Amino acid sequence: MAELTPNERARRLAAGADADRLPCVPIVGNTAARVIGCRVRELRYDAALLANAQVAAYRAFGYDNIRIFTDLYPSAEAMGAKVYAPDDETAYLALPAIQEPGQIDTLRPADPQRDGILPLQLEALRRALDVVGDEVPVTAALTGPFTVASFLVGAETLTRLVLRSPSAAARLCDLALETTLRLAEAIMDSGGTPSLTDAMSSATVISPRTFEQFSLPGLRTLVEYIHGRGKKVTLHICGKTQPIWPLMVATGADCLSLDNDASLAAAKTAVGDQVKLMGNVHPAAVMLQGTPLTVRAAVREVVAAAGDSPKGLIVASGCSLPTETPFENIRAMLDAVREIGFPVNRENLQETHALARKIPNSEPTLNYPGAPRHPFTEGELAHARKLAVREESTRTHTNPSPTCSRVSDSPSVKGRPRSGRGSSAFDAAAHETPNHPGAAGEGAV
Amino acid sequence: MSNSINNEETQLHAALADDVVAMDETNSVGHANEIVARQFDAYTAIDQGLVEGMNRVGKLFEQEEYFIPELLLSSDAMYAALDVLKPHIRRADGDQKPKVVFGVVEGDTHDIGKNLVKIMADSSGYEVIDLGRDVPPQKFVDEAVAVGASCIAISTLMTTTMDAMAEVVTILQKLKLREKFKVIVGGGPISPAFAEKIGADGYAPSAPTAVKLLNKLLAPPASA
Repeated sequence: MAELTPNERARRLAAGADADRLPCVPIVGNTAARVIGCRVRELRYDAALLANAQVAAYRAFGYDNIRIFTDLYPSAEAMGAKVYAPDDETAYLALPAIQEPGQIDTLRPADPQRDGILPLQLEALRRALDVVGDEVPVTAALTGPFTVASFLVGAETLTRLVLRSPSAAARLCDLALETTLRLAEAIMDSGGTPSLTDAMSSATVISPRTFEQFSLPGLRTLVEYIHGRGKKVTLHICGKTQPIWPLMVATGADCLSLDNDASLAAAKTAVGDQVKLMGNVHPAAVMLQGTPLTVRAAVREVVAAAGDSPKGLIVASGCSLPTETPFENIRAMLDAVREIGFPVNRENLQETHALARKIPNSEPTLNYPGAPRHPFTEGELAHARKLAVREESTRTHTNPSPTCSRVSDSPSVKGRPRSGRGSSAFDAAAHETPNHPGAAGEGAV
Repeated sequence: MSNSINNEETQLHAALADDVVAMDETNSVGHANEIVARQFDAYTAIDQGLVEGMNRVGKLFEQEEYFIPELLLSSDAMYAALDVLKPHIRRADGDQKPKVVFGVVEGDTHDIGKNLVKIMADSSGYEVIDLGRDVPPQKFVDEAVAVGASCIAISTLMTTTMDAMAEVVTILQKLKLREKFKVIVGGGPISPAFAEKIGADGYAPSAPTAVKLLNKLLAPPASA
């Protein structure tokens, strides 16, 4: 089958028809700066450049969703938080909007048309939609209310407040929610889809009970609002999430984007019949530090784990890609998904699976038309074998890092009709992070 | 008589530990004051009460019964009682504690994870020199040399700053100081493979395991 556009692919998959391959979203954030050769900082303050970079990255790699994203902080910044944007690295929080909980009542919800860089993000979204909106879903990152609240008062302060002064924590979350709702509205008014990313709500940071009390209400309100306007939405939370999968489903999100601290096979069993899944190739260990061979092996693991998930799978990185992720690894991710095809070619899956796991003396071959041949070096093969062994030995234990890539830069999203086979294109998105904890693309909390 | 005093002292230790686990700062300070008023040994109270409590908290954290908010509030209760007890420590043991220089690397302002490690190390008998966040690689080395540290612990939550971790090791090698310090790394995007790649001595995925790693790499402290 000839290569479909992302929208065509999504339509066919949603209708239960064959397609050329599974959807695939390496969550490209500021790596887009490398594609067009600009500085990371420029993307944050130049809407045209941000749109150009994201469109160029999409065209270079051919993935299934564009997400307008620079960092996790635009909403909090628009409410008074100070953000530091290094010349050529992802921006980070320099100072929360308030220094003590007593100042909560001085905060006001932001106006997306006016405050901080929100107008620029919206303009970039519109520009990208103008150029490629008819072929690929374009989303805009929307940081979840609890995570925004953590940037308003400081993560440590908020985590203390949830136990010590629940009413103050709830007030902060409500303020953050109001900003988030306004931004969601503005994103949809622009023709895009919000892509929810909520790193601080990770079970690496807060308990399921705290999630239920402080994260769930805001997320549910947002999802209801987004659904009310006919859009599907993806919820990305990085770090550990297994204890909160049922609660993530309870938000109403159409797709859960999980990072490498979560097992997609377990997620498929637990919630795969209720939501689409998205994940979870390791953004740092595989995408940044791996080779095309290790990336392809990791993609196969993902598809083997959840390629048959009842509501569908989007092969993705677990979090936003680190800025310096090699292009060849991003290409390899798409190549691997093309090789596997759709419906999933199990044989092919096994074959390359075995390759990464055992001793590949033969070169792996790509069997889609026009596929490039990749000769792999001895070093790459050795690395792949080592990785396979290591992954085997660590597979069963859960990895408790205190934050995402964790509270780190995580992100994500993709939506798909709740009924599972709805009509609209899924809107994928991605997230950043942490990673945490854990996070851990760039950006996590 | 002495039995019953011992018994009361032991009960106070148990109460302190419970206060820490219960995140109860008011009671932990109250019990610490009682220890002082009764002239019970402050050092033993810290060891048998506060440290014991934080050990239990660490276990609860590993078991995913406690999360970061709970851990922070427990440590608040621990530190508040520690402030009461510290001036009454009779033995001078501070000098023997292995010193660990901690920080979050340059460009990364996330520091919850580092603070958790610091709290757990602190309560496990290490002297923690906290450099804070956004720490340039050279500063880790300078401080470690200045204070005679045994270990440099580096944390990050962002993949963009991982190279700065490698830089610390490189600087140590250049200065021919690599053998003088253990270097451990942690944080969301870090993996054992990365730790190995940059030549660190170890990696820990969580605060309690970071302390276990320290115990393994360094001679365990004589006492908490």
